[in-house]
Amino acid sequence: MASSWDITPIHSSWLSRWDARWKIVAYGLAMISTTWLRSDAMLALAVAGAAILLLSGRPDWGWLSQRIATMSVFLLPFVAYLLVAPQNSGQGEWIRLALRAALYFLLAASFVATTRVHLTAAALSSLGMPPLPTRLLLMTHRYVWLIRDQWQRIRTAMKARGFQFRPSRRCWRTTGLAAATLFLAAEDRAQRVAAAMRCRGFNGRFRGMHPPQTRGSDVAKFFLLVGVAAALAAFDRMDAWLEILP
Amino acid sequence: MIQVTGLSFAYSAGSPVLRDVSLSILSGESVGLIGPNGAGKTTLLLCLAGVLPVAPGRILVGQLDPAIPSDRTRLPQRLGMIFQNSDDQLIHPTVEEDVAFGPLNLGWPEVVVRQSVAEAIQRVGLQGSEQRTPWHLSGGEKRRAALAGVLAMQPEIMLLDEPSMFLDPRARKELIRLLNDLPGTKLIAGHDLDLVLQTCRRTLLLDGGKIIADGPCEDILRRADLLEPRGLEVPFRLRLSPDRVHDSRA
Repeated sequence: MASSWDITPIHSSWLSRWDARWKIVAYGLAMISTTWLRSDAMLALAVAGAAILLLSGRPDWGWLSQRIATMSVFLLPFVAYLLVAPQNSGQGEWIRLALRAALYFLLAASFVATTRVHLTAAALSSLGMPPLPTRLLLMTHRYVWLIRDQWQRIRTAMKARGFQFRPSRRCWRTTGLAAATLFLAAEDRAQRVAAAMRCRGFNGRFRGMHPPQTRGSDVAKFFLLVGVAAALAAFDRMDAWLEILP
Repeated sequence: MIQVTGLSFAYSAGSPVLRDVSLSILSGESVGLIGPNGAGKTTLLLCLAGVLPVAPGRILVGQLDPAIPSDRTRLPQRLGMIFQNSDDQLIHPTVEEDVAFGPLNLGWPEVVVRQSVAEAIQRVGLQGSEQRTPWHLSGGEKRRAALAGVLAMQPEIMLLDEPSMFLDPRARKELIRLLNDLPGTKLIAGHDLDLVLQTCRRTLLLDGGKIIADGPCEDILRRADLLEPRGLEVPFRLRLSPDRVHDSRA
């Protein structure tokens, strides 16, 4: 039983073919660069650029639409405030905050939609991240899916026996019990998964079948993304620098 | 190859699941492990695989004692286990990566891993599915992917827990053919007595954590007096052809 968020469907694109190590560093630097953006126009430009980046990575539409829907729920209060708030009561800050949130969402989405989790983990590992956080990342990804899978089974079993949620004491009690069952069953299953991994010689270290290799195009992509982000930030701060200059 | 002497096991705060089990399996033997639900079949396999803690000196798998940590680390090189539910065993996002998981853990060189993975995938007939997501495969394909993951490690001993579970008749037939083609020692646990009959020469009957019977497969599986009180039935093909002997088994 699998759902659309079990594993991000990844289509071949220039972003998906990018060596994950260069990609992580490039996205990190790009995100840091964009924190220096101040003006609405530059932030809007950065959002547009991030949207183009995301689309050029050929993300799976089903996967992306779910995330956009979630993000929209987050952005809804900003839009609602802008519509009802009186003039000059901090709308500018709200807009910048919303643009910044959208920017980071788009950047994160373009990374996640084009990079497999195990490649990210392998890249983090080769970039010097200690094994424990890397392992935690992979295990969390795996167990989140596992709990979700277990929840779907429990829900199906409840529905098949005529359960429909109504705001009654009995329904709340049943839901509470189902949640407890979920964690017990997920824990049981997690133990079986761990046993299966141990039986295949797993000793806590993940190894990839395709060790990352740097190509010229990886470096070029790195400079492209970091360069664009840095240029935006530099352009945005140009007036401040001009004031400093003699 | 496998030597078990006076093995007892109990889960914490529970009654014993295995009681003084002793058995010996020779190299190259194909043995069925049958018994009713709760007989201790899976527990025995997990003890052999070193997943459950046992007292030292009770189990020897090819000279390795799963109770000794250094031996337990080396155990996956010699022994592979197929779990009841293939979903528990498939952990990587592509079939190829999943099959490579074991060989990579053994520290094999990349070239050898690639070759071993390709051979294992071909052996189970999953060519062309290398880049598919294991969780989106059918039940039969998942079982084959799980089998490939173990075969790629080239173990001398294979433990199979309910291998025909969730399989339709065609996939089950294919699995029987695969099992009969596999070299090495096999211990196949399950209730599918027909599968055991077609793949094993020897059978162990486990009930209440004890070995009740041990002998040639057909002799044990013919005995309704042994099977029926334990909720098992004489396989249909033995009832139909009492003198039938099959030679496709290891």
